[in-house]
Amino acid sequence: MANNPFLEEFAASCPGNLQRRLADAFDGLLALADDEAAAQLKVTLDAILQERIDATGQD
Amino acid sequence: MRLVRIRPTYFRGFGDADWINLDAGLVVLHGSNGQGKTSLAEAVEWLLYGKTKRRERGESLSQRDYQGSYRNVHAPTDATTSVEAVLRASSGAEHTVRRELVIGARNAETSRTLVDGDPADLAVVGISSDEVFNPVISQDGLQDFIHSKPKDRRDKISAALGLEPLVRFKTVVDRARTRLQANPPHVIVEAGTQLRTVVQAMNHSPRVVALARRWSSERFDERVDEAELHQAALEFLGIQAGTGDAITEDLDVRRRHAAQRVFDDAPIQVSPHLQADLSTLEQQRGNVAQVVSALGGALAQFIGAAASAYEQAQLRFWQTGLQMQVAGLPDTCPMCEASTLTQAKRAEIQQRIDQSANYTRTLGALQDQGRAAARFVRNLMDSAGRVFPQFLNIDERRAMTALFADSPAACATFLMAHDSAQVTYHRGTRLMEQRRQGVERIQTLAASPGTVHEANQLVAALEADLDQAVQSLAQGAREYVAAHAAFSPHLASRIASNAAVREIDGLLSPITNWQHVHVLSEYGRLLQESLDVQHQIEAHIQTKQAALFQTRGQEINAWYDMLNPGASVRYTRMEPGTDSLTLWGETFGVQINAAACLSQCQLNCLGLSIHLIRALTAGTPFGFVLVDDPVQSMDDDHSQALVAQVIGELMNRGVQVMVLSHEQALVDSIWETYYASQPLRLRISDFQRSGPQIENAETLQQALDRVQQLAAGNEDARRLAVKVLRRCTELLIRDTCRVTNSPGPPCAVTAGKMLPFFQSCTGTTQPQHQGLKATIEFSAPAPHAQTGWSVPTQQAIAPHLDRIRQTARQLRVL
Repeated sequence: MANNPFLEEFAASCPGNLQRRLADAFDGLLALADDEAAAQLKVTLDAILQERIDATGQD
Repeated sequence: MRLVRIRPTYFRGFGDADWINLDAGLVVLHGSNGQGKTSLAEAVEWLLYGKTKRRERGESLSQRDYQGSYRNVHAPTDATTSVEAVLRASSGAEHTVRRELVIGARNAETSRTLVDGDPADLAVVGISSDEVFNPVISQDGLQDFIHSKPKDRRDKISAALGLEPLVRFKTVVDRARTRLQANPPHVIVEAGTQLRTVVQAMNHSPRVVALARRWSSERFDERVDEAELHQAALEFLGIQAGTGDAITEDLDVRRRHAAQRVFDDAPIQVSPHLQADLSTLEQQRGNVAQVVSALGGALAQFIGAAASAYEQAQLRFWQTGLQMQVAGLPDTCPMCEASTLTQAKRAEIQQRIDQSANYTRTLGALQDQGRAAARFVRNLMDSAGRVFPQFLNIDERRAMTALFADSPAACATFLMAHDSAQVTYHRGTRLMEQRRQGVERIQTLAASPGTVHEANQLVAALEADLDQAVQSLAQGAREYVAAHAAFSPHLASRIASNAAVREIDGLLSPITNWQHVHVLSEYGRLLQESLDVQHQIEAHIQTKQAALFQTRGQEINAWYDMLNPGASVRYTRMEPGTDSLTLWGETFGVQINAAACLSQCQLNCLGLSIHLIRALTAGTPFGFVLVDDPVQSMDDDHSQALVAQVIGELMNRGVQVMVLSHEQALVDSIWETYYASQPLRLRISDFQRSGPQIENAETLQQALDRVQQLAAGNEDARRLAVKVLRRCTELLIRDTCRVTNSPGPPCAVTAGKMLPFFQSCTGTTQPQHQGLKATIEFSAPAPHAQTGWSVPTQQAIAPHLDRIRQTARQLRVL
């Protein structure tokens, strides 16, 4: 987490991978306006969803 | 990191300004309203962050209204809007940082930064872009806080405590999740469509209706659902246990049997290897010419041999004759037993025997070719059989027609295609069979003079007959396949509408479409987890808030109490809620809602306190605080508390303090209170198109005049006169260094330590050195605190005043 220690602290306080992925992604979007950041974060959610579906398929 | 000097260029109200010196531990800048004080504060903020809170707030209301407001409207077209500053690190190293406004497409405003002349991020010199450290406390920021809604107030307080990124994170996750719900990926849309069909099928199977209902409501739990489906299938099959594959296989068998009871479609099914079978047929068609050619060659050879041969009976006659001769009856004819066999006759007989052997050989070859051709045709017929279905018999046809009794169109169309294919098949295979039988007995036809022409005709037409038959069969097969493909869904639907079949489909459909359940389940899980993340962020924010209020709440209260000492009506604490922030206060021991009951001044003090703890957050790269008009709504007592307590505390902590104000009394008060700390006093005035004038508000002449004035006053005035006299010695030394181009003393050193700099100035004399030293000692602050020290009289002050004035004139400083 390069930019914000509070995000880092939050990600470290939660056990799940999703929190870290979202916090990591958002850390890189801090300079963007909320709507633009939300659009980018939705792309991250899409990617996470596809990874989970693919992983299920491999199982 | 302190602010040494700054130069805003065509930024806000500034034109092409000179550098503004800010190199002092305390800087006070006075100016009337509208002279550019706030522009200067915003210049510092924009330089550090590339944006200002004021602009951000404005843009949240109307982006268009605030567009282009960083740039001075009077700036020449080709002039760059920029803010440049020299910052000094605690190590003493200085860096020049600069931000330039960049106007892009559609007037979009961005900026670029330079450090020591090179493009670079300000982070390279340790300047953080984190808002928590923002050292600029703007007047509108305080007002903004006062008039916030509880939720916004909570967000602002969170931001002030450094939690803004977390608050934003929660907002952005919420919006991203909403977008994921409103605009799911294609794979989710597709799975949803497929699952609706599955759910429809499940509704016909009582054992899984409840599950179907849950899925309709997008409630998935893969583990539970799979177990429930498994159990339902076991119950249907009447077995105790079984693996998933075995259950699926059993259901498939049951389904097939149930469907066959409705209608057995085996007679109309096409080969699963149809394409391969068609390819084989086409390949065989390509070999027809070769096979027929070989047969034709054999037939021609045989006919040639037969034309020159004896009848078999004649041959046998001569063979018998030869055998008799061999047996010892020379020259004896086998018919008349007379000695008639001459030598010539014997040679002829031998020749004819040889020809007879050739006849036999070619006949055998013809027979072989005939059989080969017959096998080839048989293979062709087999291949043709594989590309056609079994075809319906009369009972099956009746059953199918009955199945479509209520809506016969699709069935009738298919049956027409079925019948056409059947005719094509039978016609083609019948022709082939005829040709096969012909070539199978071709040697018989060829061996008889009465039928040899029949053999010739058969072979001559064989290639064309077979080619045409195969072509017709292949075409017929393709047409049937197309018709079957069009009809199959109708038939499948009819079969599937049967109750027994439906029930099995209700179990089979979710099993065979489980991947869609997986996909939608993952989707639902991700949405839920995203919501959980929002709750976790919220909980984290509250935990952090609680922790920060624990650790820093006392700091807020300390700053607040400095401004409101001993007040009976006061702010006491903050209580963060889930989506709000309650400010509590008290009035004579009774708790009240601070936002509703405290005065604007008290809320303003609270806002200032919060901003101060933010600016002093551990790890801040900034060693300065800039406060723009801090005494709004404050009465004299609060203003005095600000001067005496807050600024003093900041300076004690080594923070460079810059105060911008339109209040002359406030500026004077700060000036006099901290006179010994050599504050820098600036005046901003005379606002023109080209920007404001910022000048040093304290000259040596002014200071000397002030000493003279104060020396004639009462004891308090004379005490201050001594302080100002000391300030005169410092100003004299600095001005002398400047006039003589000699190295000047650093900021914030005492007059005693400045003296060597004066002594090293070119043109200064020994008497001047000694005289100045005496005045510095006279005005030194230490004796003031000693017991028995009395405030000097006007007569005691006057010689020092004259000495400073005379020395300044000698050195052409005045």
